[in-house]
Amino acid sequence: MTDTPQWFNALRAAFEPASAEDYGRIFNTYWFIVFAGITVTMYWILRNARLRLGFLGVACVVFHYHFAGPAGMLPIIALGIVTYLLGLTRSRLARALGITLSVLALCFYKYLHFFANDALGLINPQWGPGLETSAKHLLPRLPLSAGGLYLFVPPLGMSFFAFEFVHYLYEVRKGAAPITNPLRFLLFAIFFPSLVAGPIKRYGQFVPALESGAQSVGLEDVSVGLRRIAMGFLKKIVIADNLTLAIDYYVPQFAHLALSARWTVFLLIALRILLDFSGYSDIAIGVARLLGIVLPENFNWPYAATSIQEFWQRWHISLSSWIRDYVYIPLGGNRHGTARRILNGLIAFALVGLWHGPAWHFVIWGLYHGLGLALCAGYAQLPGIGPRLQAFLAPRRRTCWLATQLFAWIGWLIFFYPVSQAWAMTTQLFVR
Amino acid sequence: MQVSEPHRSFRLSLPPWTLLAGVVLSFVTLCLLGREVSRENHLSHFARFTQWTSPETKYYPTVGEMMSHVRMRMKPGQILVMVGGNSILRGVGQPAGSIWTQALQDRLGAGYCVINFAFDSSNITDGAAVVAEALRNEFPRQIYIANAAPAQPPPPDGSGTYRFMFWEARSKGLLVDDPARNAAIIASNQNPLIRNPPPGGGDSLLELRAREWLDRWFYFQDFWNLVTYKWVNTVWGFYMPGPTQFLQPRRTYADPEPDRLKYSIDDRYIPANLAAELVNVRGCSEFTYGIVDATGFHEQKDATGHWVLYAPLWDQFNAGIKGIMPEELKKRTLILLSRSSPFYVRMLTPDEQERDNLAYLHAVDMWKAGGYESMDYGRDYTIGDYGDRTHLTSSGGAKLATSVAAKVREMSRSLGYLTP
Amino acid sequence: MNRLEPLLNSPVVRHGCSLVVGLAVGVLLHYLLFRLSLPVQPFIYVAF
Repeated sequence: MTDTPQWFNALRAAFEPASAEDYGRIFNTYWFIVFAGITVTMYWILRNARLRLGFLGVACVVFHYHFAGPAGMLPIIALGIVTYLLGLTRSRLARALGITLSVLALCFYKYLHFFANDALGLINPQWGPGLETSAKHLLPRLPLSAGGLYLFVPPLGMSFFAFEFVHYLYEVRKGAAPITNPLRFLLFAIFFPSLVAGPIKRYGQFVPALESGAQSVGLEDVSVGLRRIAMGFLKKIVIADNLTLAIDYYVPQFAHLALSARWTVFLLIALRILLDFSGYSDIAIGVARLLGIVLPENFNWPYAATSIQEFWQRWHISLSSWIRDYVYIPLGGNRHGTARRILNGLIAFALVGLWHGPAWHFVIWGLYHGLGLALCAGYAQLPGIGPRLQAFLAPRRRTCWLATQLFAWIGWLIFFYPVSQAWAMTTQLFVR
Repeated sequence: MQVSEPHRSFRLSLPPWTLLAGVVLSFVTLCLLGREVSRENHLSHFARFTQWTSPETKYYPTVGEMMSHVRMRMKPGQILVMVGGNSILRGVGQPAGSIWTQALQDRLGAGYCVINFAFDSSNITDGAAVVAEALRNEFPRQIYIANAAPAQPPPPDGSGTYRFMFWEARSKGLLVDDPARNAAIIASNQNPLIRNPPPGGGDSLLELRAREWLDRWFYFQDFWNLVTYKWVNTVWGFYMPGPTQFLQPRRTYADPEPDRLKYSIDDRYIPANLAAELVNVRGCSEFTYGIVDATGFHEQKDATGHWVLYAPLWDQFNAGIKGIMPEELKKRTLILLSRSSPFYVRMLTPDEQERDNLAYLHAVDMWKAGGYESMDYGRDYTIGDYGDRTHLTSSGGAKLATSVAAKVREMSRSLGYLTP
Repeated sequence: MNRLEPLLNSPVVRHGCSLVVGLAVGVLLHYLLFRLSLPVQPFIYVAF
């Protein structure tokens, strides 16, 4: 305690991996408050843009190491180096291989168990465990942290890394200029405010924002950043966390609640996910803004949407636009007729669902939205009833809003609960 | 489909300097207020911490507020009797008005001030120990009482949920800088499960230290605890049903402890739990006597029929209790060894009963050898004196108060507190 | 909106609103430090 100098203890603390509990808390840890306080202050004290970016790079490594641990960091470093180098090559094939590698890494770390047991296991229950064990032996087993987690826990923010790397190589393969400066690439890869849960960045916007922030961060940035951070924490810890506790209390007794109470809980579930996630995005955007760096917006009042398409243009914008640009459009988008458009939409949304986690209810949630979107985009073409329905709905924005939100909020029941429970809860909303 | 812009009837540009001035002004004001309120007692009608004023319901009393409460309660010339330990000493089973520490106060009289800062599942080194140590110079005539089970050394920097109290006091420079304890803390935190407890087991050491370092400057815990206690609670809890009832300030809740003296025997000693409770009772003295050979642990008696102490366990215990408290505070510390209810003890085999008794007596000796005062209680208590396996009813509490009062007087004499 | 325009451009209103927002942000940040000392729910999207 007193035998080692304070600065050494502080440095050691900075590099100490987080506990299993702090793994999911990220911004809601005292470590982060101290870390962000020091990082922002130092960044402001340094007046030179290069020094600022260099310092920011070190801070991002410390942040990543703290929350991901060595085993969570290693796969990302390896993938990042490969992505960076492939971005610099002129070979389109190599870049395509890089994209494949990112997708495979994501599948390996996040979906191996699901593919092996829940998908392949449906065909032959013997195959799943065998495949999983063989695949896991391909990589060394490393301790992630003192909490006893191992390499096979997906590295922190794996889905976000994979999507950003795929985007990078895809754009470079299409002809965009790669990031040549390794520090810029490092910052794109592990920029700490958005490292864990986005927003999913586009390097074409992020790198200029980085440069501009390092050169001209000002008081206006601090003012806007602090407001966003405060708003994010207000949403998360003052409202969403209380809602979570209330929801966890009331959902097990949902069937026994009065109808009005069921509707209240139903609305609270929808409100909670919005406030929890948009709160996170606000904090990420706000912290980046304290450094003068503008991150893309992730939400734009999704519960004001009056159609499913609009909902997805307002909800988790960085994910939905990624899926649009790198899955839906490459699949053909709406260029090959109605049937292909619907199929492409279903594939894209099944992936949106699967992106949220390796479980069937996420896939079903994605397909539910895919179907909703297809219906929303195509109902006017239904013979007979279509044009009449369109004529009825066109001037009635409130009805459209209600239908859209009811659809999206019922979707949250599928998102959070097993399908049978979600179905039961949905029916209980309409039956006394 | 075009995305319509959300309703935004106006956009007000906020000058950053004024905004930052506002941030600094309110933040600094709250820090200063926090510093002020940490010096004021706000625990009204306090007899003990209840479930509404404990971490069980997300109320984390600060060392500052506990110290202020002691200052308010202490009258000139009184000897401070600080009671810590777990739910047994908190008085679970005894309703408000019949708590054993109130009986202790009656028996000791006006020359003593008994304060019950025990918490459920807390340990010897938690809250009350920290507060008493922090007040060692202000109230040097003090006796600290806590309880324990045999052969279980407490962690030097507090346990689980209550560990924040030790680190709060330490970061504010309120504790003795004791090299032996420092070494014990380092050694204890080598254990990854103590350094980074699993979810639900309390904060990691790193988080605790960062939190208390920040609180040293910003006094957020004291300020918002006052708000929570006096005006509005801000965290929803399932323990307070009703969608908005949780907003009620903590001071408005009554002490909910039921009187277990009114419970039937079956309610105190639930038949369905018998097997599990017997395991717990046996566990108090299990592994205290015996040897380990190639086939594992065996209980053993020597040729004369005496139980053979299991030395590794007791050596570990002796080493463990050395560094938990600064040397100068040990002699004013009374460790009570809490025996199990005779309802269960009588169900043990005669050998197990003997082992149980010896383990308690040996633990008392070991605490004494370590420099502390110690006594056991409960051997001569009746089934009615217990509300369950470990907690006392008010009749058991009265017996405990009588024996502890005698011990406290004796300690006061030997510590020189009574000399003019 | 147009009728509000002159009022919103008034320096007193702008500075006054800015100060009030700043005061609120300061209170919230202080509360945040306290709230983190109580059990906090993990961010839902961190799991994804």
